[in-house]
Amino acid sequence: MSSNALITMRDIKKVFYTDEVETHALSGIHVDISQGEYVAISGPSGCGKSTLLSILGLLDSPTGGEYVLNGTPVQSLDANQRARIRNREIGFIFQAFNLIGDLSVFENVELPLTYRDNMNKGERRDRAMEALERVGMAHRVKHFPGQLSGGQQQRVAVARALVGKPSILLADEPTGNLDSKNGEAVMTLLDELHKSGSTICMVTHDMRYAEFAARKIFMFDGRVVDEETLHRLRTEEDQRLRQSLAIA
Amino acid sequence: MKSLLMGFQHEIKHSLRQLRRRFGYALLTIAVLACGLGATMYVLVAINALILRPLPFPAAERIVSIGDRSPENPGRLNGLPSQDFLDLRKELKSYEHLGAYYEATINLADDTEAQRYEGIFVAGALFEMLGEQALLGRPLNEADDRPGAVPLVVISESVWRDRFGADPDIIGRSLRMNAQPATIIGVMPSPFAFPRQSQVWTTARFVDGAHEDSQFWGQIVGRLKPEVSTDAAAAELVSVYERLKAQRMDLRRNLDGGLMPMAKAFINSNTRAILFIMLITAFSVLLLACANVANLQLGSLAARSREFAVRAAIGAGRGRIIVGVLSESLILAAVATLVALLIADAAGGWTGDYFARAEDSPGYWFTFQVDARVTLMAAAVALLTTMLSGLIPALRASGMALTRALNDSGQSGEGRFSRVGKGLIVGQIALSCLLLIGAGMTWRGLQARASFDLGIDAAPSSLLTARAAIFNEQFPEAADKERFFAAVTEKLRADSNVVAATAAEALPGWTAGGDDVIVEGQADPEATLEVFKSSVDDHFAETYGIPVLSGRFFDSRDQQASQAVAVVDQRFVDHYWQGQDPLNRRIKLDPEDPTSQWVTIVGVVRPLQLEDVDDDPQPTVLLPMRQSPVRFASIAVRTLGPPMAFAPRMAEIVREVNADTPIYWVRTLEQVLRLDGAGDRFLALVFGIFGLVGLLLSSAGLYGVLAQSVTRRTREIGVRRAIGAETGQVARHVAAGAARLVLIGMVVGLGLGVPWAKMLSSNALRMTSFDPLVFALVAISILASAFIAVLIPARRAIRIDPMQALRYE
Repeated sequence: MSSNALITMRDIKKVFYTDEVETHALSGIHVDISQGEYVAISGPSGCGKSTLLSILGLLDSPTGGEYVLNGTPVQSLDANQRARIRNREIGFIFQAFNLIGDLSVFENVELPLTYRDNMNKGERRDRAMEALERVGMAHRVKHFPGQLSGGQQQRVAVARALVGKPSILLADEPTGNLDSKNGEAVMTLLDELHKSGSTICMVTHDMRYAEFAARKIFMFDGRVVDEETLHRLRTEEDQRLRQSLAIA
Repeated sequence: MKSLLMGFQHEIKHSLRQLRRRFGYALLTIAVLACGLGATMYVLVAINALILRPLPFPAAERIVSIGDRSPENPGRLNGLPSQDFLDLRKELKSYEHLGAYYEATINLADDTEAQRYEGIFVAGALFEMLGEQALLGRPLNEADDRPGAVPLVVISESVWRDRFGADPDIIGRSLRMNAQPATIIGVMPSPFAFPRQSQVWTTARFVDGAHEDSQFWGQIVGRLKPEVSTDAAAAELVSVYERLKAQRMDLRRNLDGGLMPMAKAFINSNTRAILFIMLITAFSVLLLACANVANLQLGSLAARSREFAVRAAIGAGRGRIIVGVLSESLILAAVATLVALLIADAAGGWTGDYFARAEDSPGYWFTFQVDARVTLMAAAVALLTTMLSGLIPALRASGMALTRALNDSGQSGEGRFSRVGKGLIVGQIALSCLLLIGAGMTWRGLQARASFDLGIDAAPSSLLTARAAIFNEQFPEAADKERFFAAVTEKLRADSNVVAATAAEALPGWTAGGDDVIVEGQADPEATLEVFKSSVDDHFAETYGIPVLSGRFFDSRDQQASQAVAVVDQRFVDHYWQGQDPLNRRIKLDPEDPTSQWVTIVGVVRPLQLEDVDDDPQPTVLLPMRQSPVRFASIAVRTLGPPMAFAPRMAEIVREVNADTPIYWVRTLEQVLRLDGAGDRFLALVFGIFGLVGLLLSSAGLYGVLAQSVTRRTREIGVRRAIGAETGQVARHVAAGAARLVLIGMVVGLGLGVPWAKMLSSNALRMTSFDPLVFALVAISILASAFIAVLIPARRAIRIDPMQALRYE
């Protein structure tokens, strides 16, 4: 465990049980993320990267292993304790933006702050405006999500993730619902945030965007692998697939 | 036209398929609509029975009632004295038949049995007018009704069967009718019981020129000649009365003769007002149900928005989509109407039974059943319901933005309450407030009635009471009458099961006499006070548990020949001599009667309510039966065991004293008071049911809308959880939207409740116009039901797993 580690995961396992099937989504994951790092988690579909991100973001609990966030073990907290940590320590950026259609841009961004005690309206307004300025959306405060383009919606979503001044931003395929131009713009925004000190952990299956990160974590079949191993495993799998198709 | 019909047919088919797929939703919607429609149909059944359905007599539209138009109660006709009938019969030319009747109990005695029945004394051509044929023999006719003739008697089929064992030779049978020889001439078939629940009809034999005091007051009815209009008959009546006033000194100068259709005379303006209020209330329940269903449909349509968009995209016009949604509403409303008709028919049957049990039937011909007219009205209401519940959703569905609906990813805000939805919830809460206020006020009215202080200490359930009547033919002298009741009560007291027994003209809380009174030495010798009065025996106070506050109650000192005395209640004392000693002061009852004498007050009792508790309390004067004998008296006993178990023995004792004197109306005082309040209890029950249904519907509506909202907002709630909302914050968020609507609805409902309560109290029901307790309880009930309605969706919301929710589409 490095001394300035923001996140330390040791032997994290996640098993899903459905009827008679036991699916090992994560099999002994060890991950450290330091303050100010920009990490990309990549891998093929179904490799467990989104599951890992959910556990990182305390949306889900691991079946086993140890998870320390900012010095606090968090793997066995109850729902409300997890919610409180999510609110203060984590900022989410989703592929589908997940803005609330009935709330204006400002209200969407302000929302996480409304879940905090002892924060007055003025402070909330200042923080929300600051976050919106940062993503270049301060001129759209009264708009509703339905009135914005996908790229704009994602910028608002980034502002919402930033507003609580979290320890880490977790981005799940942040460009997945955007065209390439808007995707580039969002990635540039994340890059700027990283440069200004934000810790970012991004899940993406698109290697072009993974290149934005300073460190890449590759996953395959629920395990963290190095890049070379990933290539080898993918090649082997492709060959197996081709053979089975040929036999068929 | 053909394509329109085909389109409609297609939409009906499609709607049926949709509803089959959403069977639970269809069932819920039908149940909700059936509640509202059931309430409305039930009131329509009542209105049809009481107002719309014609009387079951030939040319019923020409049958009118004649009476004295009441200045205090417009729309009601007061009865007229027998001399008026005799005079009008001679003078009026507009009628085919003119008859009169008055209701009284009739004693039929033979060698084996004497029994009292509900009866009618008939004068003139009443039966000719009614046109009803006898089962055996014949009905009474105008020629039978001659002064001095042997009384003729017609009995009902039930009396014929129960009393005379369906004897086929009953016609011509002699018996004693109210102690006079009489002959049975006919048996009327069931269910004939004109006018309400009569079992015996006999000739009235009014004497022309009889003294005012010996005249009978009754109802006059007649069938107009076909060529005579009601207006012309009314004008003739007025002119005849003008002539009569000039000829007869006994006629009141302010008498205002008038007529109205007999059907209207039976259902007076008070009953009509109650029916109107019931209709408003039932319609409120229906509106509530429609709002509920409209909201359910809005929720369901939001989920089907993509379907409508696809239909619009492939060319369905706006009208076609509206027809589609309305056809679904029509199917639901039609099925709900059928269910509602069944409910209304059953409730109507129950109502008839209720009033029959309460001995308070408005008229024997009133039957609360679903008939063709009600079915027709039901069809109209069903169409209205279709429009009320389906039009808003239909317009909404047809106006859904095409591209948005096709591309909607669940972020458009459809999951929240729409403006229309909000309005519907507010309306539902407001309506249930009004319904509950109605229920609460009738309940408070009943409570006030139940807690009304009659001034007696004996528990009403511990007193067995019965009425007995004796006849001048058998008891001609005043002393004879007094001796009869004294003998009865003495024998009763001698029974080991009896604690106390009394006979009195009055039965507290039920009936008493009324008279005007003056007191000796009053400043204005003309000023009279209206009082309740009753002749009572010496044991009245002891039996009913009435404390004597000062002086004494009647005893053996008060003989017929001794000083005339009276006992008054404290209310009387407070009226005349607040703070002074009333003993030995003198009063005179019926001061206009030159034969009436001064009576001396010898005692004061606690304030009494001798009359019906609906009547305003009045001062009471009690007179000793020895000095003021009566023919009709209520016998009351307090027994050691259950009072009703003593009833046969009481009847036996009375028969032992005089075989021709049966007792009747044998009930505990508690039963008497219950019968008296049957109408109010009925209203309280109906309003209570409507209120409860309203509360359930509004809570179910709120629950349904919230539950749908939570389902559709799963992703939003997931986002909120993901960005750090704790369970309490999510629950509060879900509840807050509902709470705001509930509060607005409550403010509107309670605000409208003030004039509504005023209308209820002023038009029909005896209650205070504003009762803060009722309003407070209504607010609490609404909040409690809203809390329960919010609880389940809120619990569901806090259990939403953010991970699952974010994947939710």
